[in-house]
Amino acid sequence: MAVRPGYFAKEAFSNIKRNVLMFTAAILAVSISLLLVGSVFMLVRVVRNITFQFRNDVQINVFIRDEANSKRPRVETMYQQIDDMPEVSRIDYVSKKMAYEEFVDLFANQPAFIEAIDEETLPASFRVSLHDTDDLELVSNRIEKIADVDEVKNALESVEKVSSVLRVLSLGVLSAAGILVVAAAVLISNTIRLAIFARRREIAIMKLVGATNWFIRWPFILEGLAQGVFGAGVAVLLLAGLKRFAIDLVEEMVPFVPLGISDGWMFLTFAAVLFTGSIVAVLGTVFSLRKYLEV
Amino acid sequence: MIRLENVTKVYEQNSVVALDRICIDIGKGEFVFLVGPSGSGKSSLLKILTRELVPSQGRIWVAGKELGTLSNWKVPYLRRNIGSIFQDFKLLSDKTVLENVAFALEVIGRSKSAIMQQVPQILELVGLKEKALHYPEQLSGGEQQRVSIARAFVNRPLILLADEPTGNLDPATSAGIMSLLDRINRTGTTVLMATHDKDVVNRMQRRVIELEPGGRLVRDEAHGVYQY
Repeated sequence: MAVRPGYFAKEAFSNIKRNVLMFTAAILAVSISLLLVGSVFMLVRVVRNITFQFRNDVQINVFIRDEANSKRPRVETMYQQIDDMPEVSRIDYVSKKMAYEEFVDLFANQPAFIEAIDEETLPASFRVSLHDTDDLELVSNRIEKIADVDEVKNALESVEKVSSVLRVLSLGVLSAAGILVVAAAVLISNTIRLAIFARRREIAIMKLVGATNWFIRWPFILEGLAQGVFGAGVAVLLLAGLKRFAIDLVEEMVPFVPLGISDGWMFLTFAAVLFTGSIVAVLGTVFSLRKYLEV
Repeated sequence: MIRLENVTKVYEQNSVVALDRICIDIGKGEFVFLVGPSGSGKSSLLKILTRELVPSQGRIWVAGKELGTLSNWKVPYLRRNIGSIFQDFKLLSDKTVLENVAFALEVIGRSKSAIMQQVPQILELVGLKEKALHYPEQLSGGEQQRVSIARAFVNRPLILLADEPTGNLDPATSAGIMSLLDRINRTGTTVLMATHDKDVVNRMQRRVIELEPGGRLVRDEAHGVYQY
C-alpha cells in the first residue's frame, strides 16, 4: 500500500478542528508538566554547581584563644603543628585587626553591627586550606586537640544544608512534574478517545472495506504527537524565558554564586523536554488506540 | 469460494449457540440465499466470513484463504475481496454519494487517478451518476442502498455479502435492488444474501440455505423457495 502522509495529516487536522478545546487543554497540560520537567533539569544543574564550587573553597577556621594570641611563640607553635599536617595545603594567620577589617567590609551598609564591636572583639584565627575537601572532618578533629585552639569551624555543614534543601526542592518539583506528566498523558488519551468516538462510523467502514490497521491508526497518532510536540514547544519557550529572566538575573545580582546554566545545558534541557513530550503523547495515544480502537 | 466445515459458534457471555456444526460449500459465481427466522445465526455466519467473529470450532475457507490460520494483519486484505451491504446502508452522512464510494478506495490506498476512474463507472452501473453530489439524506432508501452496493462493489470483490439488504425497502424498490445484485452476480461475483424477504427468494429461484434457531442447517436446495 502506498504511504499517504498528506492524507493522514489532513485527517489528523480535521480531528483537531473538530475538538479544538480539548486539543488546547491537552497542549497546556503537556507544556506545564514539561516546564516542571525542564525546571528540574536546571535545578539539578544548579545544585551540582553550587555544591561543587563551595566544597572546593571550604576552609577550616581555627580560632585562637585570646590569652594565647598575645604570646607569639604559642601562636607559632600552633602554626607549625597545623602546617606539619600532610593534608594541609595552605595556612594563613588572620589577626584580630584583619578580622575586624573584613567584618567592616562585609557589613559596610549596616553601621549598627559595626558600632557594636571594636578591634578587640573578634578572635584571631588561622585559615586552613586542604588538598582534598574529603579530609575536612579528619583534619578538623585533629586540630581541635591542639593546645590553645578555642574553636574549629568549617563551612561544609552549611553548604551541605543548602544543597540538601535544593535537593529536596528538586525532588518535590520532580514528583509534581511526574504527576502532571501523567495528567497530560491522560488528557491526550482523552482527546484521542473523543476523536475515535467522533469517527466511529468511518472507522467501522474502513475496517469493513479492508483498510489496514496502521492506515486507521496513523491520523490519531499524528494528532496525539502534535499535542506532545506543540506542548513541548510551549514549554521550551517558557524555559528560555525562565533562563533569561530568572537565572541570568540571579547571576547578575549575585556574581559570586555561579549557577552554571550554560547554553549547552539549556540545549540538553530542551531536547529532554521535547523527548518527554513525544513519549507522553505516544503513551497517551497508544493507550486510547488499544482500548477504544479495536482494529 | 466459500467453504465451512463443522463450524460452531457459541457466544461465551451467555453460552448461546449461534451456529451448530454448519457445513456449506459455495462455488464461484453462485447466488445463494441464507434464510431462517431471527436468531437462527444468519448474521453470525456472515460475520464469521469477514472475520468480525471467530468461530468456536470448525474450519473456514474464503477466497482461497483458511481463516483459522490467517494472521490478524492479513484480515484487511481478506476483506478487500469481500463487499458487504447491510439493511441500514451504513453510509457517512457528511459525505456525498461520490465521496462515500471514493472513501472505500481511499482507505485502501488507491491512487487519486484510479479513484477518479472507477467511482464514476460504478455510479453509472448502479444508476446514480446524476446524484453523485447529493448527500445520503437527500436520497430515497433504495437509492441509499444503491450507494452502499456501489461502495461494496467498486473494488470488484470476489464475494458480495448482503445482510437483509431489502429489509427497509418497499417491494418495488426491492425488486430494483435484486436486479442490481443479479447483474453483479452475472459478472462472476459470488453473492451470499441473508434475508427474510419471501417474495424476493421465491421470484429469484436460486440456491436456498435455511437455518433454524439454535443455528442448525435444515435445508440446502439448488432452486429453492422461501418456507418455514
